[in-house]
Amino acid sequence: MKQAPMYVIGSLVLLVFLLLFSVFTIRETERGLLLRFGEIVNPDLKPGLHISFPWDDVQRVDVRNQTLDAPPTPYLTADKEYLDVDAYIVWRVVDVQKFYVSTNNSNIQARSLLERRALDVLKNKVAERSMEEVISGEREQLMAELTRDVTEAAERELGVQVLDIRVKRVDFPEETIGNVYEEMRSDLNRIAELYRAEGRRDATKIRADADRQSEILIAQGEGESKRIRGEGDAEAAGIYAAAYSKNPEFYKFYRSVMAYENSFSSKQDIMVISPDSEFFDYLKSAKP
Amino acid sequence: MPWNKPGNNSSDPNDPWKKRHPSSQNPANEAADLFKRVFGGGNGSGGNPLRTMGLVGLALAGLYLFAGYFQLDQKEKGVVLQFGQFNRIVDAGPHWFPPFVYDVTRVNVEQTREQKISANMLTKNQNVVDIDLAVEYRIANPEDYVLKVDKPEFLLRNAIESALRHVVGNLSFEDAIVNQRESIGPNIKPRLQQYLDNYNSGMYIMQVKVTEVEPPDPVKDAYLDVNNALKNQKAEVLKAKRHANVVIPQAEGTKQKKIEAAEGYKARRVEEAIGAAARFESLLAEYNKAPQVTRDRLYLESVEKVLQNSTKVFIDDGNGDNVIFLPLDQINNTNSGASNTNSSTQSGYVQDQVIQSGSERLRNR
Repeated sequence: MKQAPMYVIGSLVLLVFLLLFSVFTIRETERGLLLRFGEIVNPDLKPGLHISFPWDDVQRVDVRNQTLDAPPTPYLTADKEYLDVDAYIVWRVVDVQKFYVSTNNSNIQARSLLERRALDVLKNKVAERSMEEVISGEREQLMAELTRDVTEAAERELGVQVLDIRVKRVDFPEETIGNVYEEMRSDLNRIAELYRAEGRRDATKIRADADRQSEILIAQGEGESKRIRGEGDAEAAGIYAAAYSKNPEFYKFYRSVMAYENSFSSKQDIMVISPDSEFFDYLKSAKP
Repeated sequence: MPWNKPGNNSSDPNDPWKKRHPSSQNPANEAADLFKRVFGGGNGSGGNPLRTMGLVGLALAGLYLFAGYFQLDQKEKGVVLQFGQFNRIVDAGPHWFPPFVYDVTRVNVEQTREQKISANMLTKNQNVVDIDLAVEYRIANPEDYVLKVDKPEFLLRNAIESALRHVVGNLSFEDAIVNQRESIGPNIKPRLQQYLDNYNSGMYIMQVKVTEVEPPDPVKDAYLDVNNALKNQKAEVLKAKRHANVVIPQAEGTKQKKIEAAEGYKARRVEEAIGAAARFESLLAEYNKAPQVTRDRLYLESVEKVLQNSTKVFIDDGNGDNVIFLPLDQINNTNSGASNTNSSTQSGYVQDQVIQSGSERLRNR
């Protein structure tokens, strides 16, 4: 009786160990492959708890979307310009068995295969386009073509789906970037010159216009002034004429007398007078 | 759940193992003794092995229970995996999931996260701009974020660069730096979101802020010069406008002044005419009453005034053959000298002298 529980315990312990070695989980982020003596017996283990023989081998494959940052590579465009193109690839494993077989379940190997393929296609696509098109135009189309072309081959060969290939950067290579800066500089200098010239032109225009206006204003003032003065003269002349025509003869006398007074008003004026003048009639005798 | 059984069962009084411990007290059973050493008396306490076993079992059970407990903050969500398989999302509050069976990843879904990118980009017209960008995002779908993507932040950085590249690649240098600078961020946002949705990243872009758009260092001075030129242009125009603002009102003032002066002249002329006419008319009225007397009076008064104010040389040249020498220059000079020194007595003297010489001549005759 005392020996019996020992066997029970022994077998229980063994069972537990066996279970521990034969029970495994596949995480949501993975798919599993069950290999028995090197042969795939279950190519698609879904996430969850699984049981296998202890001698079975379980390979786990990451099926999340992964990002591959391809290194910047110089490409020749259709118009024979070199451009450094930097792209990234988003991919995931869709065919676990194919992926395992073709890459030996090595992410690194998968990445390098994928990268090579993607860059090859990218190179061809860039070569079909001009520099300008690569930089700005047709980008969506380029991406779509690229993704389609790469994903077909990748799925066939690697069991990998390419969700997206996108160009992150397009740069001029180190050797030519200096020229770009030089061009930018001369462009900017030209613009600066233009602004300065425009400034001078506008300023001159405004000044000239102001001077013209003021010239006109002064001339108007001059004209107006002359007209008014003329009016004054005319009016005065009318008044004079009206008054003096009442006795023209007396006016002549009166005005002459006044003119004498005004003409000889200074000691500088020297009069050489003969006593025959009417004024001296009484100087010589009391009777004329 | 085979591996949590021993821990639980060791505290169970009905455990068949329990029977083993009393048996170990039998010195004859060495195997049982060994078993006891391994399982119960391993710590060498030498006390009641059953109690030790129970305590260890309790401690393990307590640890297990404790390990399964956690609480989620209000801003957190928990992604629960059951044997590695996605089970559900749990919200804020206290939770207990048996360890080993369940695995919970906590994700802060409210926190605003930020990725900063600074890059120099080619523009549409093959110029280069330096751009600094800050992307604010949060995790909107924790399940996708945790389970569907590898290195989500790395993916995000790549996606940001690509979206930025796309937007800037379609702008000219001037537009990127000045005209459409404000639109760069808003244009990137939907594009980036579309990429991220395509990748099932579970990330939600809240805002794309362009913190800096600048010309690259090698051309910065040339660019600043453009700004200066623009400022100069404005300053020049402003200066010219100021000039205009001074000159035109000045001219208006001059015009007005001329007109006013003319008006004054006109008024003066008219008033003078009226005055003179009135004077003449009143004189005429007097003249009409006694023409001869008035005439003589006017004449005499006038001549009197004339002779009073001027230098006179009185000559009676009745004989006709006398040659008279008149030192006009001298008279004039003396006069002007006199007037210059303001001495009326002197001029009076000269005058007298002249008159005297005149009367001498009269006498001689």
